[in-house]
This record gives sequence, structure tokens and C-alpha cells, in this order.
Amino acid sequence: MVRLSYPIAMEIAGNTAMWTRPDSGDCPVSYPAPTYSAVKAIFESVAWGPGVEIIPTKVELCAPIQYHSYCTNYGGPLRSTKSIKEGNNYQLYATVLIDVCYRLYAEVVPYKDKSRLPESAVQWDKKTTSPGHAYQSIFNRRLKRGQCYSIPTLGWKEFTPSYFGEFRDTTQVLSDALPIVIPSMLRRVFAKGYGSPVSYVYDNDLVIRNGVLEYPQRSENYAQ
Amino acid sequence: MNSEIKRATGLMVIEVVNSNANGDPDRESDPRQRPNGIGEISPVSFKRKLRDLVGDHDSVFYQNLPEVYVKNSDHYCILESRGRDRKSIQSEMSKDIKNFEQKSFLESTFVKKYWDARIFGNTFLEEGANKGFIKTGVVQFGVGTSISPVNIIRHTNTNKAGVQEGKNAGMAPLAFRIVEHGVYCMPFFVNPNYAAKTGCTQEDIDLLKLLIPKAYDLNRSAIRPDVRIRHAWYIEHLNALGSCPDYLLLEALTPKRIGDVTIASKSWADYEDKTDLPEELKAKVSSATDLMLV
Repeated sequence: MVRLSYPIAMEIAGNTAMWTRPDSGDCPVSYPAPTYSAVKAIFESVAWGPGVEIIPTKVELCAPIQYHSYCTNYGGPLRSTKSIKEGNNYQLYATVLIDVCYRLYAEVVPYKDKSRLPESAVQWDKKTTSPGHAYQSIFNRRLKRGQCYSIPTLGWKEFTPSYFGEFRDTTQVLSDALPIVIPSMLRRVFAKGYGSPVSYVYDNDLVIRNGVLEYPQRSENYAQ
Repeated sequence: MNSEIKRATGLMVIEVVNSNANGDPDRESDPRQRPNGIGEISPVSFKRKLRDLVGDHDSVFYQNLPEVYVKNSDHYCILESRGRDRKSIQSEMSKDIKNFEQKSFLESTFVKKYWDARIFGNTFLEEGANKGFIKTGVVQFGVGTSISPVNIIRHTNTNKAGVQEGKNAGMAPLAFRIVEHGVYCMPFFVNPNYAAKTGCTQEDIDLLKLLIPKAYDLNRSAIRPDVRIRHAWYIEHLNALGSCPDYLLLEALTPKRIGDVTIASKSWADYEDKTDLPEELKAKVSSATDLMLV
């Protein structure tokens, strides 16, 4: 029987994290757990496979949720025209998480729509008989060696991990934590995968129960 | 991919003595501190110091850099600077900002001119511009946190000459806020896989390595008189994907607090210093250098 999906998992920890709630506007506030697309990007920073799609399935919280105010001076392009003209900074107020640790889970499936892939990726894909299996093996190999295409981030690029890799024996899932309700969570911005236009998709009425957040399954992700 | 640049893992060990290494704008410039007492230095703050060192081409420091930087100072300008002219920067990016083409971007004045855009990436966003111009950088600094909690001391500044009409003396209550003593660790990473997208070169990375040791020494102020970079470890991997897990390198080079880790330290003697990588880790990497000793 041909398998259509291959499971992958990893652990990531760090001193600061930001999983931005889009409803928090220009003073961003973090969700307690990474979004679907953040988990996907963390896996992809270790290995990105042109012939596969990574579908996050769940995340386990392994450190208590702690919020922290993180304010920086901002001189970037999102300032008002007047501020830019006068050379003024403004303060970017963010509510981040500190001392986080998560276990991330995903399924790898063959990519459905290859029409948007660059030519080099199409050529790679043609040489692979089972892209999901190939990706899983490459991913696990890299994780064991601490290799990555780029350092995975905990939301913002400056929030670097203190650990990423295989599960550690010393890590404990917060299985006795009280439930946390997330009424609405941004799932993806580019909902149709690689190179697709902006299209926001939200998951509603999520609950982190016993330290576990399960991302709802959506049929459009899975290979037919 | 730029094959000249090697993947690297870095760690700065920063000792703060009676100084405010990084004020928090949200708390009247108190030294940054977490609810558990741990001190914090933002990457934004550290990168600003590097940018300031590169941006001042007339400084004694810049003029004493290797000839390649002094002779080609127009290749080492700073994008994130006050008073920049957005229209002219836009024209430096491309004649047609609605469309993005990687090859012509790499040949653009923008890429040739701005060191910080090549090395840290850019978020320069203009209305109607193609988002391809926004780039993730090659060098990534992480948040610096102290090993033990830090004690903050708050004093009032006094001024003999009055600053208000009719007064011959002045006071700024609690204006002098410093960390008594703390040792902070700030990681940084070099991701060579992004170099081909931002145009970052080995010369850009070499300049970064020259700047890091001077970042605090050449930026002293009344509130930041004594911030010492004890070590600036720079570890090159054997290949672009990495040849040793970063956390092993970072953990091996983090000083160990002697005594109770939950109590603020008083001096450098409260830590067991790490002066080299263990042999088994050295065997996994290409080189391990302390930039402070180069």
C-alpha cells in the first residue's frame, strides 16, 4: 500500500517568542502557541521540499505561558509619513512570550499543485518517486545533526531558539495545565501554498487542552 | 548561494558594570528586565551600535579600517538612518518597483550601497512596490539575557545650573538607572543561504567581525560607561547547513554562575569563565575564534 503522508516532529525552545495575533494591530500581542503557518515555517527552515506540503497537526506546550512587555524604538517603513519626513522614531510595543518550549508535529504529503513551482523544483520532484518519504528522511537526518537551511525563529527573526532538534528526555508536556480558549487564530496568509496570492484563513474556537493545541484538519491540504 | 561565506554560530558574553546596557522605552528607560529579574538586551539595540560605527565614515575608527572599506566607503552606507530620502532610495532599488527581478536587484545601487541591507536584510516597503525587494538578512542577532537576575539602582541626577527660568539648580528624579552587575549572553547566527538574495559578501561579514568587539567601547555614554564584551565567539561550521547543533556550542561557551544562580552577581569572579570549546565540539566545526582576541 502506498502511504500518502509521513509524520515529522521536533522540539524548539527559546527565551523569547512572538506568534502575532493580527487583531492586535500595531501593538502586537502573541498567541500562547505558534500559529499553523509558523509551525510550517519552522519545519521548512530545517528542510523545504519542493515536492511536498507540510501540514502541521498539533503543538504541545512544554513551558508555562508567561507574557512580557517588549518595547523597541522603531524607525522603519510603517511610520506615518510625517514621522518619516521629520526623521522621528516611534516605540513599537509588543507583548511577547518568554522562556518557551514546544513540541511540534506535522504530516508531510505530496504537493498537489506543482504548476507554481520554479523549474529547478520541478526537476527535483521528477527525480523523486516518493517525495514525502524522501523529505521525512532528509528532515530527520538534518534534525539529528543540528542542520538547517536557516536558523528557525520563534515568530520574529530576532527571537532565536536556544534549542531545536529531536525531543529531549528532560522535556515535559504541560498535561495538567488549565484549558486556554483561542476564539480565533490566523491559520495561513498564503492559503493555497507556494507562490499563491494573499488569502487569509482563520481557525475558530480552538482550545489548548492538557497542554495540546490541535490544528483542525482541512480537506484542501491533503493530496487526493 | 555565496560559497565564500560559511555558516557561523556566535555568542557574545557581555559584562555590564554600573551601566544601563539597554533602556526600556516602556519603563522610563529602566534597564530592560523580565518579571523574573533577568536582564535583557534587545538585538535592535545592539545592531544600532554596529550601524552607527559603519555609518560615520569620517570617524577615526572607520578611517583606520582596512583599505577595502575606506576606499569604497560608498559601498558601506546605512539604510536605517535618520533623514533618508525615500524617493531616492526607491530609485536606487529599481526603475520599476512594481516588478522584481533578482539579478538586476543584485546589480542595483541599493545592494551595492547599503551594508546593513545586505547583512541584516531590509523591510523597505513603498506603496505599489513588489514585495520581492524585502529581504531576510544573512546575519541574525538574538535577544541577550543575563545569566542571573540583575539588581537595578535608581538615582536622581542633579544639575548645578538650573534648567528652568528663575532657578539656579535642578533635579531629574530617578534619571540615573543602572544595572549594578550582570553577565549577559547574546547569540548570533550567519545564514549563508540568504547571501545570494541580499548580495551579502565575505567582506561584509569580515567587517561585522571587526565591528563587534568595538560596539560598546566606541559608544560609551554617561549612563553606559562600563559595558565590556568579555568574549565574542565566532564558530564557523564545516558546511552551509551546519556541522554541529548550535545549542551544544552555545551551552559550552556560556559562563557558569558560581553559587546561587537566582541571586544577582557582584563581579566577574562570580562566574566560571569558558575560554575554549571542548575538543569533541572543536572536531565538528571549521574554526572557533574569540573576536576579542583577534
